[in-house]
Amino acid sequence: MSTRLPTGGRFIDRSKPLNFRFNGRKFKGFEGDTVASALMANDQKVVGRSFKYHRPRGIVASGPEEPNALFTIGKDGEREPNQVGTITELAEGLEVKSQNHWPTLETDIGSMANLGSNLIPAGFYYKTFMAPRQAWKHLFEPAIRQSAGLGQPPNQNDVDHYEHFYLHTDILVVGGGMAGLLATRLLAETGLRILLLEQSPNFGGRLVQDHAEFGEGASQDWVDSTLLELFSSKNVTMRSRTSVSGIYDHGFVIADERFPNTSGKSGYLKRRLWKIRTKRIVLATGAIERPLCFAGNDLPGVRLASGVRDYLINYGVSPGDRTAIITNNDDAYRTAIALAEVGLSVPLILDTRMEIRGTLPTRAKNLGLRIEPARGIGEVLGKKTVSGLEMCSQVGEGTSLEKIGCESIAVSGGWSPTVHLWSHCNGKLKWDETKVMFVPDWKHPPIDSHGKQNIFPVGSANGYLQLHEIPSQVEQIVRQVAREFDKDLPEIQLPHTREITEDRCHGTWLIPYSMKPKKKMKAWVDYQNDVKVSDIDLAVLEGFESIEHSKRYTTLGMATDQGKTSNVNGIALVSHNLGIPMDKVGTTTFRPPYSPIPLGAIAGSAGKELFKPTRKTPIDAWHVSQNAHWEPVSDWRRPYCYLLEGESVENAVNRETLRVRTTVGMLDATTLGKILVKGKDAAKFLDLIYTNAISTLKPSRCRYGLMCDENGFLMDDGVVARLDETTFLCHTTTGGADHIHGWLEDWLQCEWWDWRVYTANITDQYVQIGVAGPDARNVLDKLGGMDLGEEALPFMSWKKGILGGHEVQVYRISFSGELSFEISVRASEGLELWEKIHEAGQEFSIEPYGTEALHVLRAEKGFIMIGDETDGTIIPQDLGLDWAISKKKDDFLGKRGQQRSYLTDPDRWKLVGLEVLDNDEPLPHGVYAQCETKNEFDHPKMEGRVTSTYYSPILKRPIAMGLVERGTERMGEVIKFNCGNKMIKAKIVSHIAYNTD
Amino acid sequence: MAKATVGSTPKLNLLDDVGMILFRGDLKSKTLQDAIVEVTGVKVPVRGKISTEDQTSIAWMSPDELLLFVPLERVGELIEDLNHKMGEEDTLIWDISDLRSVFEIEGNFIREVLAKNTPIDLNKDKMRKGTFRRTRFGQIAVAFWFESETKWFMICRRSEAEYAQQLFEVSSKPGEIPSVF
Repeated sequence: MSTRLPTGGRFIDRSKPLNFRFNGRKFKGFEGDTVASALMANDQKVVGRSFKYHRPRGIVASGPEEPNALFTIGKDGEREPNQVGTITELAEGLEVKSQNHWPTLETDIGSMANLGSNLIPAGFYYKTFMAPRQAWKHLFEPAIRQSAGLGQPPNQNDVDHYEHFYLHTDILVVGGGMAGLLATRLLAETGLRILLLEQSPNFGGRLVQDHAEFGEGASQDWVDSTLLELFSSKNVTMRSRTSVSGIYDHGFVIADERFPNTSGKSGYLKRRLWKIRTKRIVLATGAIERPLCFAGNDLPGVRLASGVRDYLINYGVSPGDRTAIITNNDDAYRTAIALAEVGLSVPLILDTRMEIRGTLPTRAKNLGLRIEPARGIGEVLGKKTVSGLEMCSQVGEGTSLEKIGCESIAVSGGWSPTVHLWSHCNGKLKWDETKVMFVPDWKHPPIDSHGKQNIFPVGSANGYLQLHEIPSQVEQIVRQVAREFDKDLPEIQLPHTREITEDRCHGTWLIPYSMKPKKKMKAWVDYQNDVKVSDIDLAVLEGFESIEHSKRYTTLGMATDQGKTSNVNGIALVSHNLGIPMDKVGTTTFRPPYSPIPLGAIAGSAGKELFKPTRKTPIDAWHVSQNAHWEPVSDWRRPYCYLLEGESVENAVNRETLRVRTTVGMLDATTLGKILVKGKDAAKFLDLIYTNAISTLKPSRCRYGLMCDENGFLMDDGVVARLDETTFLCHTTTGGADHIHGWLEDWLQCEWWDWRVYTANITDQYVQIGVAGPDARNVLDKLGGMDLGEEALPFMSWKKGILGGHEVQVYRISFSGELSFEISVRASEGLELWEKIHEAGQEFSIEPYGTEALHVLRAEKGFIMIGDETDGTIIPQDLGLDWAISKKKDDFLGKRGQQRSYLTDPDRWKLVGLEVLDNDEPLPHGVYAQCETKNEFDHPKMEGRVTSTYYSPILKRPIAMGLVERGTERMGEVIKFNCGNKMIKAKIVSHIAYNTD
Repeated sequence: MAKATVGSTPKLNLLDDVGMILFRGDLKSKTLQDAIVEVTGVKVPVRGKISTEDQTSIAWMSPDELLLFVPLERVGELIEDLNHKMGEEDTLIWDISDLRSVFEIEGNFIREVLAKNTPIDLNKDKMRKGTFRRTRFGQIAVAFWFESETKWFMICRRSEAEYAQQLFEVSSKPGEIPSVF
């Protein structure tokens, strides 16, 4: 029975009880509890099922290294899977659910795999399920999916929100334990900007629970007074609950700040992702305790000794009345002493070492605790939870010497510095044989862009576990950091800490040393991935000797905890198996994130309506009022059509198309790109940019032009208007505006940098209104102010004037074949002019039309559309646009490209019209025409494809354009399009379907 | 351990009476520098800066581009004068008063709200009075400068103004602003 003690628990507030539910059952906890501590206080031993074997699993640790206690927190739109219970703070009404069990946590069918855990050894998936082939899809995969995996992904929209925060700082201190606090305090005096981040809600690290006495006075007092000092330092920013998850090149750091839901309301700020730029990093991330490998070490009730101590001191939780200790170092004795001091029973301390002399064991002995040197655990007793253990000789094979009854076993296999962040940017590690740990290798540190070390580990992260070593070590390193900024540390009285002699940890990797193979199948190395000692043996035996290989073969150190507790033990077992030193085995590569970050935090505020900016024209609200059916066109939204009440999209498009053909329609063409090109060399420049001649264009005239890339492929098209001798306005496609502006600047800045040309993208400055149809002029004449007659403004010309009281430029250009004007007016007056035109047009039944009607109108006339007729592999010649390619110009971008043999091949597919033989069967978009002959791969040869296909309401039949091999030479021929379930026949005709004159 | 985040949160107001002139040219040229001072009364700013006199500000946009903020009603006249003074020298001067939206940001914690959406160094010794910083705000291109700690300005494309307003709103919720700067 684990339970809450009557007193104690420095993090909890007993005056503030909280109610929560675990798998639907009501539980109680206190403010300050984590989900894990509250579950332990409620005697919830089994908290989840293991990944492969579905074995019952209990809480092992007290920090982010926890491999087992993963929960789904919250319900509906708040649901978050795979939350680590040891760092999730308890809140009123919290819904906690265990994961990976079926049907229930208590009775899991998957745990039948227990019948022989040798059923799923290392490499199981690679060796099994190879045949029969069909069985994989229908039998194996569904079965594996049912039993494998952790939490279920949420199935509703997230109701909470997230954000990012960018901060530039001089020094980032990671970790607010003793070393981090001391480093920050020393650095604070330099005036440099310091950011101190602590992953847990409380500063102080392990200091208080491990060392209540701190030289003169209590260690809690030292923590409090240090915090108070830092709090008043203007140059220091401190954040708790903020976990640094990754360090990247150039001092870029990602940290994840968690907010407990104190209000209980949904829709609160859940996480803030910090994006930090720092010059130097002080790493005070502490160390993580390792478990030990013995038979039955995964039974709920077996916990890390430090975790047991944390629950006892920080949360006032007893791990059980009787706790046996197994250790290979002195630190675990702290747990024994702490338990004994609150009056709990410690029946036995098993120490794998022969000689035990340290201060802490002596103190334990003085408390009357039984210490057994050179002893280990033969096997843990108990079915679902620990009920006792069998003591054995450490150097033997595991013969039971004595059975001891206990509900809890506290394990310590030594400590591993938390070096993950050091390693993210390629800091190397070295094995310290005396300390029995991987420590940062200062000879191969992570470096900045100047090749200088930029991460500086201090305290236990640097391998210094003894309290008395820390102050001087921190000071020395921090002084070095300060010097890099030309700062010196002031003389500060370092805290005087009490010296406690701790004996060496012993590298014990197997308990007992000659563990029998059957026991190895019950001795876990990695709890989260169900990797046992036997799996590592097998992997090595099968030749997976490199640690990177054996990791992947066994899945050691994978998944959410990334082997925080298991990596070093796994490496040691490989080393033990191969008989080579730890250094030679090496380590796997630590990569970000250190702890998982929710996808919501990565997205930040870019979710829901802010997922992507939507560009809107000044007429947008009017479109909304007219029931626009939207279409995204690059970043803009444009009306696809306007729906009358009860009208279908199809009917609306037909109505709008016919309106333009019969009377008049109006179009919001604001989104089309407008790029100003000005300068003495502007004409020369545009002659190279466009395929046709622009320099010959007269002021007040317009010309349709094509732009190709260097390879000759058609990239963009539009109308160029010459405003004056040296100024041109180049219209681009909506999606091409930014790209073409960049393209022009690229050539001007990198190639023709001495040419006298300036450009500007002035798209947003103007609203552009298209008025098209037989009555277009009549409508504009009603507005008055400008002569727009055939003589005053002939086709392909433009003029300035006052129209309806607005200063405008009117372009006489057409994309529909109808009489058409495009009126450009400053954006702030756009809506007003739009409404005036709409009103003036009522007499002619004017209607707004959307992008789809625009497409139908242009397709009826055989006009091409960038992105429909082109796809980056099409040259203007393919589209019959040879007339827009100057033969006279010496050069233009793409000219040379178009001369390559592949592009001059007479067999190239050419643009033609396609007329279906049966009007009830329109051609689908993008379908391919198939020949009777086969190609070199023995597939049917393709001879063309559909690029545009619409229903033409004026012709009352489907129309289509397509690219067909030698198409223009094959007028009248019938070809067949493969439309999946049927072939549709179409005749090759002129690409101009309507009004071919 | 977060420092207090109470206090009023900043507000974003759209200014619709700002005249803006695009000015491209050789910023090192004496003709240009003289023309600017003579016509606007404001000196050409150095890289990354904005200079202000009275109702006119000139911002450094790029090595060959300036943005002039002038009273709306004077735009036409100023462009004419500038073109005249520049004479034969290469330049592109254009009325872009409607190209971008100008926002005034007023209140406390402005740096914090901006820091949620912009990667630039907003520390007080880097983002100072007179700094004109082109960067991004969320996913759109913007520029910032300020008159005082509690009065800042931001410009963005006119078509993206609504996004800017929405993003600013979700970034300035009371109780969700860390006090850092």
